Amino acid sequence: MEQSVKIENLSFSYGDREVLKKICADFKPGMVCGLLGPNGSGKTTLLKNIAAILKPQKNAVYINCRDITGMTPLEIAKEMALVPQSTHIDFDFTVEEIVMMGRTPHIKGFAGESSEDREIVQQALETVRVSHLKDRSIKSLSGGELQRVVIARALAQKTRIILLDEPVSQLDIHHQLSIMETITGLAHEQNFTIVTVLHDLNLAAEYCDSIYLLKDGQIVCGGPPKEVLTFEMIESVYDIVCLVYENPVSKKPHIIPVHSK
Amino acid sequence: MSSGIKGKVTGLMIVVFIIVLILTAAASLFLGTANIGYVDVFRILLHHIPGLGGHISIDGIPESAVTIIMKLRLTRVILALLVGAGLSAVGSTMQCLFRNPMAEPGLLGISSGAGLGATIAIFLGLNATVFGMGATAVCAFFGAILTILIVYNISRTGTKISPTVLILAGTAISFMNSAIIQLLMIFRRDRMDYIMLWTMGSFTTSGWNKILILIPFLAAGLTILLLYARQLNVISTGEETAQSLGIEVEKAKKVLLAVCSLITAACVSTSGIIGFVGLIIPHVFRLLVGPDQRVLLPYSILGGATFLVICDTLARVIAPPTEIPVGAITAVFGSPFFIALLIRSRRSVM
Repeated sequence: MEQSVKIENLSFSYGDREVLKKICADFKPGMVCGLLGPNGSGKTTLLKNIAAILKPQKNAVYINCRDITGMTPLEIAKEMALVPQSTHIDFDFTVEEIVMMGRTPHIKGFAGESSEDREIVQQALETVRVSHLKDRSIKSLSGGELQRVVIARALAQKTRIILLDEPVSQLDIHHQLSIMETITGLAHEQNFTIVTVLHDLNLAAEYCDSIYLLKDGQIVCGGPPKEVLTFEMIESVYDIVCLVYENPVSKKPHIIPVHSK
Repeated sequence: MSSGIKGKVTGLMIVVFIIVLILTAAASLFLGTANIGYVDVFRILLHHIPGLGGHISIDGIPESAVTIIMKLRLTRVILALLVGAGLSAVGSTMQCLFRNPMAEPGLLGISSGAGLGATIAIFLGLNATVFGMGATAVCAFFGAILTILIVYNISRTGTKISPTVLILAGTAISFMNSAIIQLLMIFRRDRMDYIMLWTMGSFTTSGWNKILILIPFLAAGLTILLLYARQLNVISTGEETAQSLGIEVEKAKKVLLAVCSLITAACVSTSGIIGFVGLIIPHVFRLLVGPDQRVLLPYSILGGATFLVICDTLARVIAPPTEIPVGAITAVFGSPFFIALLIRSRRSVM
């Protein structure tokens, strides 16, 4: 089955302020697509439009060829999962209870969780390697553990499309790499469609198959990291002076910032 | 603990709590200034059960005892039970909905609105009755509804409502309402006691008419709250998350807000402002059974009902013939218990 996200001429405004201007993009299965750009460039707004957290205009965002504005929240939730930027949970739920919430779109009305639901939750926990935390309180987890649990919740939703908003920006280097590896594994091995907002250019260069670079609400460049992350492009979008080398191991671009312009 | 075992334990505990509530209510019927024997209380109660009444005679029991049990004690116990259940359920729901541990039925100005409505009725000396309800209760109900409508409209932008603005607007309107109540009290010193008793909550003016008005509000309201329990769990972990999981968050917020407002308005207008129950009881049970609203809500309902029956019984038997406002009892006896529980849970975390 096709599981694509397509954006056609999407514009979006907060009041009078136009944040997205005629965005066109295409996200395909089996690929990790990164949304990059300076603060305020519209990355998160774009992601929220795709997730229908914000209300996009008609005929601009298509999920599996269907206009998202014609879908109910429940229909959207069965196609697409979201890992939000920051997760702060005040109540003392267990890890298992939180991941079980990923089953919400599939559990009808007052019915309880079935053994199938519990199995799916167990699998999701194993995929991100946190099954040992199952009975722990969500409030007792470290940042890295919490992020894995939130990704497990998205996996339990059993959608083929997963959107992530800066999934690793609060984590240490080890957790950054291992979570990015988990995410790329989902795309490359299980053919998920992954769209993720990222801040770190080098992480994006390493792990994304394609990158859209945003500035002032417009996509200035899109394509594989090697074509997008050139020093001319980065200098003009981020207003910095930088050097771009090739990572000797992965052969991907490696950016060394020098100073701001 | 596996979910299956957890479910059975929870089910069993609920039965235990229902029995505790019934025993508490029964004990409350036996206690009071007028000394009426246990056997007589049972005979009077059984006599009034339709269909069974003919077989149980109440010969030899003084008329006054029958009146005390049926018109005074029984109506008080039932009213306290209903109001406790309602306020506690609303508190539990609002704490989840706003992701705010300080949320309680009075938060959005609903209680103070009812207080102002009642005060105006007392101030003007209104004493008409509508549907068997006194003018004070009717004015209180409309005061509460009017207040929540004002607060709601302040916090609405387009079709969305911001919880933060809602809470701030509610708090601001609460202060204003309280200030007006105090001003009105000063101008009607002769009725000050009456207003005071009302704003601190009391079941002294209980009656079957109030119970009959309250039951439909609670039956419908609590059912809706229970139906939304699963969605509320998800909303309590974040609105955007809930939305991405297919929940129509804005719709849920509006429905729950409307239901909470109506339950609170109905409770407060029949019994005055009773604080503390709606804030503390849900926290007590969250510490005991966890935050899952599907489990927590039934416990909060039973716990709130039991707690308020106990408090009202204390209010009338501690210092007879003086009635202590039940709002004072809930706070004086509830706070130390809650603080002890907080300290215990803090230790277990460390």
